[in-house]
Formats: sequence, C-alpha cells, structure tokens
Amino acid sequence: MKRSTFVLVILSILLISQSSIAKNAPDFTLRDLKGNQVKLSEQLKHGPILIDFWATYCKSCLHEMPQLNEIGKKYKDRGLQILAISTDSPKSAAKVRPYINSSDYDFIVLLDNKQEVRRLFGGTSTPYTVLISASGEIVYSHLGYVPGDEIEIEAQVAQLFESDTNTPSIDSKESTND
Amino acid sequence: MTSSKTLRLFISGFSLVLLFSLVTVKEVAALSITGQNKIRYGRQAVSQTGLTDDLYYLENYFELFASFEKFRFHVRQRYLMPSEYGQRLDGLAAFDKIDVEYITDHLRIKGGDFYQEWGRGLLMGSLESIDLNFDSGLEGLVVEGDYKNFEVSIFRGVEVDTTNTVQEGAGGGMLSYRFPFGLKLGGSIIHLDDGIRHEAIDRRGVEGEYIFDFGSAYVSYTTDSYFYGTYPHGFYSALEFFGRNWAVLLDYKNYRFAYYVVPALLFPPQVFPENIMYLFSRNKPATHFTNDVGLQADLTYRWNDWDFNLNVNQSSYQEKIKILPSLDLSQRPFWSTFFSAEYAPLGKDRVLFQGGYMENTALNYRYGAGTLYEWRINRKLSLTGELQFDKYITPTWVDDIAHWGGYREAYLLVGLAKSHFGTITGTLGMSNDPWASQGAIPKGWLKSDFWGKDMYWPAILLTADFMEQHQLRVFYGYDRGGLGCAGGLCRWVPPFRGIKVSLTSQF
Repeated sequence: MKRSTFVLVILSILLISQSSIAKNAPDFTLRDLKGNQVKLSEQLKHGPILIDFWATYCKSCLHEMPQLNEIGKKYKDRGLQILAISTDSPKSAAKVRPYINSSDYDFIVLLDNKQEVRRLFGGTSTPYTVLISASGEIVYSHLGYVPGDEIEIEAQVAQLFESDTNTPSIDSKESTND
Repeated sequence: MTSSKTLRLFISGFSLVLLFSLVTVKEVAALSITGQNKIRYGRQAVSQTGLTDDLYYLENYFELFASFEKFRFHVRQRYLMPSEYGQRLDGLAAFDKIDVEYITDHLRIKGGDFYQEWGRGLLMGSLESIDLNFDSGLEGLVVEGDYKNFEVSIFRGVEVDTTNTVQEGAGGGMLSYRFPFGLKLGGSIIHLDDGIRHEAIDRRGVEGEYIFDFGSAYVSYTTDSYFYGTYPHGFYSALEFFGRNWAVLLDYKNYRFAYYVVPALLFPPQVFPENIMYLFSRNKPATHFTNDVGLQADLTYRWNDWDFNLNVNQSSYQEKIKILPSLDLSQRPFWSTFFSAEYAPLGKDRVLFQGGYMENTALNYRYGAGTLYEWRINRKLSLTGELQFDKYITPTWVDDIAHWGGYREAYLLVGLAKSHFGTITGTLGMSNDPWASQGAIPKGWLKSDFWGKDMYWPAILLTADFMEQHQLRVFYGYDRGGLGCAGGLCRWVPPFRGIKVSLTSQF
C-alpha cells in the first residue's frame, strides 16, 4: 500500500471517529469475584453505569479508584453504578481479590481476563473510563488518569443526570414497586 | 485465489460497508459499532550512541466491533510499513484478526481468531501482546456454554505463530462444576497435533477454587504426555485471606515443563509484582519460568490514608527438588523483597516511598529505594517529582576468591500534568555500568560525572488529549531499554535514541 493511501485511510478513520451519531454500548456478560454472571443490559435497568477498566499492576488505575468511589457514593442514591472491570490476565488475577477485599470500595468488580470487553469499548490501555446512560448510550469515555480527571468525570455524570430523563431513580423504582 | 484470500476479501468489503453505515445511518436499533485506531511511528538514527540500527517503523492498528442482536463481528487491520520488529503487512494480508460470534445468555459460539486461557494460564494460556510482538492465538471454532452449575468450553483450530507462517492443529475441552457453597471443580484435556515445532502433545489438567467469606483458595495441576516416558507437570496454588483493611496472598508453584516451542503451553501463573519501581522493573529477572519451585507472600495493609505493601518471593530450579525451593547455589536460588508505603489523602498531595532487594541470579544482588511526591497545584494541575537509586553487586572470581564490584544507577522524573489536556514529563537515567553505554548520550555532551564514568539517558514525553477521543504521545530522547512486561509476559526492549509518536483514537 502506498503511503498516500495509508494517510487517506487514517484521515477517514479519524473523521469517522468524530461523527456525532449516538453510540450504543455493546452488551456483554462477565463474571464477578464470586463467579456470578453479570450482564450489562440487566444492570442498565437499575440506572446509568460508569465503567472503569483497571488492572492491579496499573498504578494510575489504583490512584483513580478512590476518586471514582467518591463519585459512586455521591450519585448512588440516584442510581449510578460503578463496574470496576479488572483486565488482569489470569497470571495476575490472584491479586484482584486481595486488593478489592482490603479496600472499602462500593464497586461491582468484574473479571475481563482476555481484555475482550475493554477492546470492545475501544480501550487500548488502562485506566479507561466509560459512562453509559440508562438507555444504553455511551456518553463519555476517557483514556488514562492524571490528578483532576475525576472533576471532568463527575461533571459528565452530573450532566447525564440532568439531561437523561429516562434514568430510573431509586425513588421512582420504589414508587413503581409500591 | 485461495479460500482464505476470498474470505478476507469478503470480510474487508463487509468492514467497509459497516464503516459506511456508521457515517450514513443515523439510528439503527440495537446496532453497536465500536473500535479503536492506533498509529505508531518511530525513527532512530545511527549516531555515537553505540546503536547499530537505523530503525524506522510505521504501523497502524484499526479494530472494529459490530454488535447486532446476538451476533458480534470483529475485524482488525494491521498495516506494518514496516513494524518495529521489521515485519511488513499490507493489502488483504493486513486483515490479521477476523471473527464472528453468536452469543446468548448461556451459549457462545465463535468462529475465526480466538484465545483460550484455562487454569490461570497453567492448563492453557494463548494470548497476544502487540507491544511485545507476541501472539499465540488460534484460528478455528470455539463453543462455550453453561447449564445450571456446569460450564463447558470446546475448541478446535490451528495454532498460528506471530509471523503467521507456522500452523499446527490443536483441540481441547474443559468442563467445570460450581457447587452452591462456593466450590468450583474442573478438568481439561488438550491435544496438540504432530507438527513442525513439536510432536503430538496431550495435556490433562484439573483445577479447584473455593471462595469463602474471608478469602479464597485456588489449586491447579497439569501433566503432559510428550516424548515417550517423559511427563512434564505443573502445580500452582494461591491462598488469600482478607480483613476490613488488610489482605494476605500466599502462592506456591512447582513447574517442570519441557520447552515445547508452543507458547500456549508455556505461560503458567507468575504473580511476581509488575508495579515495582522503574529501576527494578526494567531489570526484573524472568527466573525459572518453566522449571521452578517457588513461594510468594504479598501483604497489603491500609491505615487511614496510608497504603502499605510488602512482597516476599523465594524460588529455585525444580530439578531434584520435591516440595520447597532450595538455597543451594547450583539450584540458582532467587530471593526478592519489595515494600512500598504511600500516603494519598483524597484530592491532596501524594507521597510514595518504595524500595527492595532482589537477586538477578545466584550471587548477583540489586537493592535500591526511591521516593515520589505529587503536588496538587490546583484542582486540575499537578507536578510530580520522583527520584530512585539502586546498586548492583556482583563478584569477579580470581583464584577462587570473590572480588566484589558492580555499579550504581539513578533515575529522575519530573512531570507536569493538566487534567483532560496533557502532560509533559522529563526523565533522566544515570548509571556507571561500563556495559550499559548503548543508547546513552554521547560522552562529553554532559560535563558532570555524578559518580564518575557516568552514562546518561535524558528523554522527554509529551501527551495531549484532544477532541475527547484522541490521545497523542510524543517521545524524544534516549531510552536505555530493559525488560518490558505486560500481564506476566516479558520481552527485552532494546535501547533507543530518537523519536516515537503514537496517536490513539476511540470511536
């Protein structure tokens, strides 16, 4: 392939990535730390989801997690759930449980040993954060973490709750049950 | 045209249709199209640095997933013009990963390229690392399902090496049952056909996992039928206990594998820590990878805003050893201890102390320490400074008398980061190792000799986030190289002097 064609292909891809159409989150099923299956589409019935792809050997992931936990606590009553998806391979998977269980995180921790789900969401490395509305639309994604990134993430969560009228809040679910 | 080429032509056409639909169709119910693109460019010029190669690479990885109802389609196009490792791929051959899946709640059928990892890699561990140029994937068909508490996985395909020139048949299956009280038991059988790289191999394995309220226990064992009369084997176990603010992980391994030249069977669990300080991680030894007996303890403790971690590892060659690692020098004993203490109050400055000791091989020692301080200038701006030192000691034998010598190293990092904007990071490596001149800045360019006869590796890294979905990375300078590891897989990264640029995009 000639270099000019190569450049053309790259430019096309970049343009496509900037297209403004809504992106549906691809559905997936992963196991949690107790071996139970967790399906994205089922979890979305309870409200929007913030996905954090992380690994025990990724230092910036470990620095981001307490910040995400704070955001999770703040918006939990409005239905926000955090799926902390470990991309540790089976070789380092033994460290996931000790790290999580000795922490006070209010996450649903899932195992993506082959990193298939992370790649499915376009993530090339960790940490990779994806915010999904209750209607299943990817509204925000961010690669990497530096101090202060949590401010933008929280702003995106707040904006989602302001704009997404379809979000089933805890109150509405309780009233429905009644 | 071969059937493989016809298939790839069809797939590439289908990909273009999908891309076209992405930009033209505004709303398609239940259709999800996601993916990523990564461009990598590098240029290294021959100079006075001791490097011999005039390295140039230009790569593009494009990956597309399309999910519709119960079907998922995946294609990856990998232009290598050439790659960092000298490979070339273009045209239809650049479509190097293609697969189609049918997924329901209890069944998954996948045709095309796939990977399988069973028993935490001990029973089977086919995987890919693009950064490390490693691929032990398979092409064929895999069926996975679960019924009540049973889980089953069956595959048949061909093993494909990284250059896609060697293909050998492989097949296998795994069955497991999860008891309601937290116990899971499973067994597997794998058969690798007689091929170019190996004779026929049969691997049988079992694994068990028990999850309880305050911890978990995991064991796996495998044995192979290879050459007549030889039975390589491997055993791995991990025991974990935790409390509200502490956790202990104990793991034990006992491996005696032949060198099969079949990567998928040669990656047993390695829990050796990867996130240790830079000067250690770039020298981390891949000790006794397929032939060792070892113990490891990892302790985590949290107290207020402090996090403490201690990791101790002891191992040796497995020959003549029944259960515990040996301290006999002929068995190449390996010992390491790493610790870290980090004070990280939420949203405030962070300080890290770390250090440790490790043996490279018997009678070679390396110890060192480092500290990091992260200053939160304001809510979005932070400045990080890091300094590390280590010392390597090795004997020279003269008339059976050891004369101890070695070298010292230092590593300095200063980085400024602005959230959702970018980072600028400067690094400087220093060493007085007389054998480490490759890739270093030419002598005389820096007048200061910190320890005498020093080598220097200065570099600068810029990253920029833009338009939400793109990240640009530019590296310029001198990279000393070293061991690069990702998820338990390691490769020696050669020294480099020049520029590297990458652009990552999500869509």
